[in-house]
Amino acid sequence: MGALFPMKSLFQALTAVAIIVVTGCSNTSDELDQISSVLRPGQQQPVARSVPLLSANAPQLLVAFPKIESLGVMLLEGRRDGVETWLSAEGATLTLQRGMLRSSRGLGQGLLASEISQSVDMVFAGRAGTVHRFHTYLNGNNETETRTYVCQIEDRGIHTVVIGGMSMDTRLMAEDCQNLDQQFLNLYWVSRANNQIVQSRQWLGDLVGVVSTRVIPQ
Amino acid sequence: MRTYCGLTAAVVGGVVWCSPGLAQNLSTYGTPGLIDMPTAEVLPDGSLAMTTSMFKSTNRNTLTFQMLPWVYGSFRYAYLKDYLSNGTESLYDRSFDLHFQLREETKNSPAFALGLRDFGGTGVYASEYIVASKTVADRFVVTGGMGWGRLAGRNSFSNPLGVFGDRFDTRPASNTGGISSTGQLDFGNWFRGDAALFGGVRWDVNERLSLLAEYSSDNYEQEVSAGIFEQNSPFNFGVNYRFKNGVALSGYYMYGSTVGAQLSYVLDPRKAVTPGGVGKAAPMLQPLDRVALASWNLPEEQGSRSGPSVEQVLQARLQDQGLRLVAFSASGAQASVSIENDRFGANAQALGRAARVMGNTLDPQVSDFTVSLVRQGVPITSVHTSRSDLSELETDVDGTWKSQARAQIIDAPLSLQGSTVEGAFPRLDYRFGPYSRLSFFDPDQPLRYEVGAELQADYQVQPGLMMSAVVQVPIIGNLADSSRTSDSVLQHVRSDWALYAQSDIRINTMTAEYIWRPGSDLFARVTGGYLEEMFGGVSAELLWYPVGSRLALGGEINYVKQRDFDMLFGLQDYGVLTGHASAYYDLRGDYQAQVDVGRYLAGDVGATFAVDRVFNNGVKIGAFFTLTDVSADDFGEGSFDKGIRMEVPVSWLTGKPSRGTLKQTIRPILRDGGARLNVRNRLFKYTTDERASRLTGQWGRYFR
Repeated sequence: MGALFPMKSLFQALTAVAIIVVTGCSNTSDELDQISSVLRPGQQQPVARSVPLLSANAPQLLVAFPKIESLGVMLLEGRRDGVETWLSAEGATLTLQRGMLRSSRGLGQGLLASEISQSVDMVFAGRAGTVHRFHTYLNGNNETETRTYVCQIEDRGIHTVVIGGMSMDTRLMAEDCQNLDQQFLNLYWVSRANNQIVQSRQWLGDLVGVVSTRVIPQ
Repeated sequence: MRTYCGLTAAVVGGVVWCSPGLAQNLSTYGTPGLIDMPTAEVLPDGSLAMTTSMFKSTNRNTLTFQMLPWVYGSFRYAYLKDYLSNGTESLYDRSFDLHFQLREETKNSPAFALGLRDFGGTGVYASEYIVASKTVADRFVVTGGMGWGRLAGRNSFSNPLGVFGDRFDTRPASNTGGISSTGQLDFGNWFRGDAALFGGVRWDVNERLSLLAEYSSDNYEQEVSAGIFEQNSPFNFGVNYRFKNGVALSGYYMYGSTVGAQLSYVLDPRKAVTPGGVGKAAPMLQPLDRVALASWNLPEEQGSRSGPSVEQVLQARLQDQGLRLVAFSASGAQASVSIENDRFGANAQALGRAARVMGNTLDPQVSDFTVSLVRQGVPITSVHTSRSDLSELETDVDGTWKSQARAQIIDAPLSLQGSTVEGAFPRLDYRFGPYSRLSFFDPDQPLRYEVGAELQADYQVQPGLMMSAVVQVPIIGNLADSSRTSDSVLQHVRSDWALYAQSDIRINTMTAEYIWRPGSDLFARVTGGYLEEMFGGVSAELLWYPVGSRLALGGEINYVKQRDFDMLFGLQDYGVLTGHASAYYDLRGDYQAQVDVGRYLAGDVGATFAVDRVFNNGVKIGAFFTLTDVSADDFGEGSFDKGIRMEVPVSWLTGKPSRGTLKQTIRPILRDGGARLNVRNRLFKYTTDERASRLTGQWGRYFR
């Protein structure tokens, strides 16, 4: 077989195939990009719309995902109706309402949306009590699943945190949530000076686990 | 069972009713069972199980699919070393099983099932059984059953079904003799002849480990007489260990004479590798006042405007989302875009992205958005969304179903609306890269493959009109090494595939194609040229497919001539008028049925029946068979055309957005009867992902 390019050896044949894989090109499908991203991981370009944000000195947020050992900075893409969207270089986003997690995209588990108004009220009022929160996830079969959690919110007292070399007094609010098969603990360090969350540890879902955030003073 | 309940609880959350009778052990036959014996259990609905087992001179490779909660089907490819001709010739054997769970296990009564092993193959494993299984003391599953055929090999007794008539008392010889007639359904044999009892027990030591013991009614008569197997005892013992990821390992001590090993993997197609995927997020919807301040939305001053136009911005932003703007119109409060989705497996996601790009780009006075999904310039489906709904629901906890309820999905206008975007037509799409192809079950070489270079080019002259070619150069493989020549008594429309595989450079297809909308709910196609690898000619098709309909009807007619074996430009003498009337129906749940009635390539007349289970994420598993007026003898080995087919979206595996799919059709054998022309872009397949049932099914990705 293969009389067009008489193959002297298996090695030559494999080389030819490898060359085709590497030189393959297309203007329609991203299939070849997908192959090359497997072959050369970690060479992704930052998402295009993060470039103007960077040059405009958009506000930054320090985020960490302990479960996948990833740490980085996200940029504020915009604010609408009290919800902030933060964008990572890879094009993943977190949306936060006053620093509390509302949704995520592109992190391998989609928290499509959530309803957390009761928690928001309690945390910023510095009050303890029981609230409900609702998370809507996108599952692997392209269906949404909404889950309800019952949460105990408590005030864990005054803690000093150091951010950007400055120490500040915060009230640590803890939100302990569970439903029948899941349980998680969210922590919010709320600045006593301006009643804003300066640091947090919040649960995204089973797969991704926890995200930690910390404001970066401008 | 315990494992399954644990899994379900994790997935569904809340109170889960664990239904008993869900197997966690696969037998050497790759079906829920003990070691060689079946149990009445089934797998969780939709599961796909792959098993390979080995002992002595037998190797069984099985794919089992739980197609309904109470029915599974299996396809098996077994290698029996030195089985034939008194231990001198090996046998590759293909077999199909069906298992029906007639009654679920309850607290006080066992599960009951009825099964057919190897009901359509060569008959090596031909057997039928009824079986009951019951969980005892939470950790033991006790099974007892009665078998016929091969499962009545040991201590058999006269058939109790004999009370219904003498015909049950004897079992006619199965079709193992004449290879020409294999593949016929042996339903004349089912549950006939002597019967025997079998049974066993599984002890679930913990969630991961089980111990097995069984009394087998199979005495391996053929194997023993061929001198390749020894039977010293009817008892088999085994141990099974299941890993968290779905892989399981088993070891056996069988028939007092041999040991066996088995590896299996059970997967749930509904669970993608990363739920939701790792693709980039959509740009957030910006507040309207910011959009109003964009330069392209500011009033024109002195008739001169610098910077890009709305259309250009829209086009660039859509392009960034992998969506190609083809046409755009805006007047007053209405704006409409026609897009080709080059990126997302789920069109619902493309709709959501396009709507958000519109929301971030268009003047705030535009309040109604229309997105039309277009393929090759042919509009298929349009979706109306109001701008205010979009911004209200983007972060709503119930945004998915609310946005679906408020969106209007309608048949697209018959031609592109508004002005066609500059550069949309003509347009050249190309792909140069590797290709691979596989062939299975050749007795000389069960797996054949070929890898090579492929160039694809599609030139869109104007909306609907496309010139296309695919050229391949094989580089490495053993596909063309087949020395088997076709013994078919029919016209060799497919069975000469090995001759086609010899060609060194081949024009797989070279076609001119026009697709258009002759009326609402209607699609039409004409294609001419080298339509497929073995045939060239002309093809015309009409499809009626209302946007929200479960039913679609189509008709196709072709005149084709067989191509030369070198797959270049020459044609052979054989020509045939072939065509089909087709009905497509979306059944409840994930099932899609298709019936095609008409004339096939060899001139035979008949019908093809197909059922696919199409999961919401695009994974597809189905089976088909074709019956025509060609007799089983004339058809040859296999008796009639049949097979299973699978499709897996690339994004299901990678988590990244892609429209690509991996497809594989597995036929036990490819012959000339019931062979259909493979023309590209058959209209149902071409349009179905853009029609309403698919869009609403995948609407979860709208705000992804």
